[in-house]
Amino acid sequence: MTASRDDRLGAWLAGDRGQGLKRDIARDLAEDADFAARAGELLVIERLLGRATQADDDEGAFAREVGRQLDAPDSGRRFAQAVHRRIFLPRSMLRAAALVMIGLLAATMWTWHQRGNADADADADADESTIAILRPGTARCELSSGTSPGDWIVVAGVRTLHRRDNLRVTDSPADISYADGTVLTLLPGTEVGVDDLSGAKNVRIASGSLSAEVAKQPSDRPLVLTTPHARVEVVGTRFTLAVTARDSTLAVSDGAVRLITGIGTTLVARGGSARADSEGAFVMRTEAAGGPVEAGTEVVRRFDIAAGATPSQWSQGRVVAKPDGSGGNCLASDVDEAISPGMMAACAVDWRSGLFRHAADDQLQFDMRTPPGAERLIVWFYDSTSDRGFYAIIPTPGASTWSRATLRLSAFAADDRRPEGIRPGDLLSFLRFSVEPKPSEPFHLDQVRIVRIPPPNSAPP
Amino acid sequence: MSDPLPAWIIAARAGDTQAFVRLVEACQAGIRAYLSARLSDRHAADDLAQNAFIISYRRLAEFRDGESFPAWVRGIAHNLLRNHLRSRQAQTPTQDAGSLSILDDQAERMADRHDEQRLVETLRSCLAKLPDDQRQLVHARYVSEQSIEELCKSVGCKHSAMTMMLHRVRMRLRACVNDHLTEAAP
Repeated sequence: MTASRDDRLGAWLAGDRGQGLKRDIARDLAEDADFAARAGELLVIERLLGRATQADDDEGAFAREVGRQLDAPDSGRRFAQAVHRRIFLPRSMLRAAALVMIGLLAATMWTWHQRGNADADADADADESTIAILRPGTARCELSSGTSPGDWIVVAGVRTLHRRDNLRVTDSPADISYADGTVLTLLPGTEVGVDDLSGAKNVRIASGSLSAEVAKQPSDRPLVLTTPHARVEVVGTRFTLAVTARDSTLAVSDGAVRLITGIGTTLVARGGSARADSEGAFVMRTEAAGGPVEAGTEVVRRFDIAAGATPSQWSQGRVVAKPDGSGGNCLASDVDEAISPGMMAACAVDWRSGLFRHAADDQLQFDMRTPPGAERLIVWFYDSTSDRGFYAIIPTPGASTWSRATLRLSAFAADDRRPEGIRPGDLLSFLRFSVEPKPSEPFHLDQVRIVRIPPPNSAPP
Repeated sequence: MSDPLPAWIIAARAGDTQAFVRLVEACQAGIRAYLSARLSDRHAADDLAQNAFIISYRRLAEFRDGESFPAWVRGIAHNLLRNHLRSRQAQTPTQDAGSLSILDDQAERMADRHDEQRLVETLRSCLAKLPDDQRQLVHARYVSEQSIEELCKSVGCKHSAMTMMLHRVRMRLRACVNDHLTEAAP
């Protein structure tokens, strides 16, 4: 009996690899374009079946394996160990000794080769140049060098630090001193990695706390501190940064420090502090609300929310409680924006000329005081130009103290889940703040404003 | 909630491998599906995907903020795949029975037309609709990775009958996937 095209294709897809079968299938594919297209689709199905039948937990295992490889000691050492294991197998000791020599030579050459390749990649590989001095004082410090990560050695006395060195302090404080006078004081229990990226000081804080006294840095090469939750850029100031598994808290005692997360950027000034959590959201606490404000365009002057419905001072819109108690509406001219009963809200609206036109890097800044029970604040904008809504959610401090938040508008998410955000030039006509779950006491907003930061290196007006 | 990838990228750039592991978790399905659709060896596809992520970690400084991270890694994976196919071609003699370039070209066209991750998800929903006996066969072949000979022994049929049974399953799945994709087309 003669096999059909599908028989042959089925055998091929199942793994049969005879030269005759290959020739026949090649002819089948060449003769019939439809069959060829169908065969291609079946081959993709065959290839993806292995993926489609994989268990969900395989995905986590794959990612962990990538992480394990990144954390593993350098492959040059592993290669040397593999050579070492192999060369002790021969029976003759003499032969073994000779092979050891050859193996070590090969491993050394291979390691050099690897180092050369890595350099050619122009990646941030460790080099031997000193970037700072470690002054442990009486502290017990352990160091894992950039050239042999994972091997921790106890450090006694002053020593130099090089790129990609990691350091952990176990008891009393230790200082890292830079040539320009910048000093980072690591508190006990702190683990950091130091680096130098194109002349910029770079410190990664895995856990613990440090305080810093930073000499003036070049504006294009600030000292950068990175935590699992945020990035801190310092041009020159005094501050402390505490990192836990849950969040990172920055407190500034002099100057100003910029805190950057995936959601936005905030400038923490003298006397202020800010906390960034694992979601990238942050809240900022100031010593007193209503203090000096940065240059910017005020959109909303001031309003408080009383009894969850009516702002006491509101120039553009007002939230009116529905008579049946099912929530409230934001009313202004022809607007009737529903507020659900599960939230407490305030709003601003101007349908005719809009609240403002968005410029790149615009930030919405406001001070808030939320009562216990309110877990999150949702800020929502309506973009008249694109006829779409955009929102940001931030956790509330959960205490009756004032805190300041600064949100980058370009980081707002779209209601319709489309990737494009608010575009520069778009007219924003409606702004709503709401807290959820609805608290029993009112929440307060103050100093609601759009802060427009001039681009770097732009000439002063 | 906004996209967490930028924060993870910032942390990974500073050497936080755990943040990078989160990035891998978020992006791996698409990269692995992309490579799997173009390689017959699933394990080789996973090796390439792993290399793509490791290279992307080393080159994070080159990643431009604001661009799509998955698309960037996919570009790296594409280059690795091209090198892999080239070196395989160089290693095997011209009379090699293991490749059929026309078929590979057709498969590539099919994969290019669709998002591979979506193909995998559609395939999953189609697998759930298979009759029990065919689903068990798929499980034995692709999860337990039984050879055709082992399958023949357990079912009690000839080699050619088994390859045809598997082929009928593929054809049914292909029809189901095409129906889904046609329905979903705008």
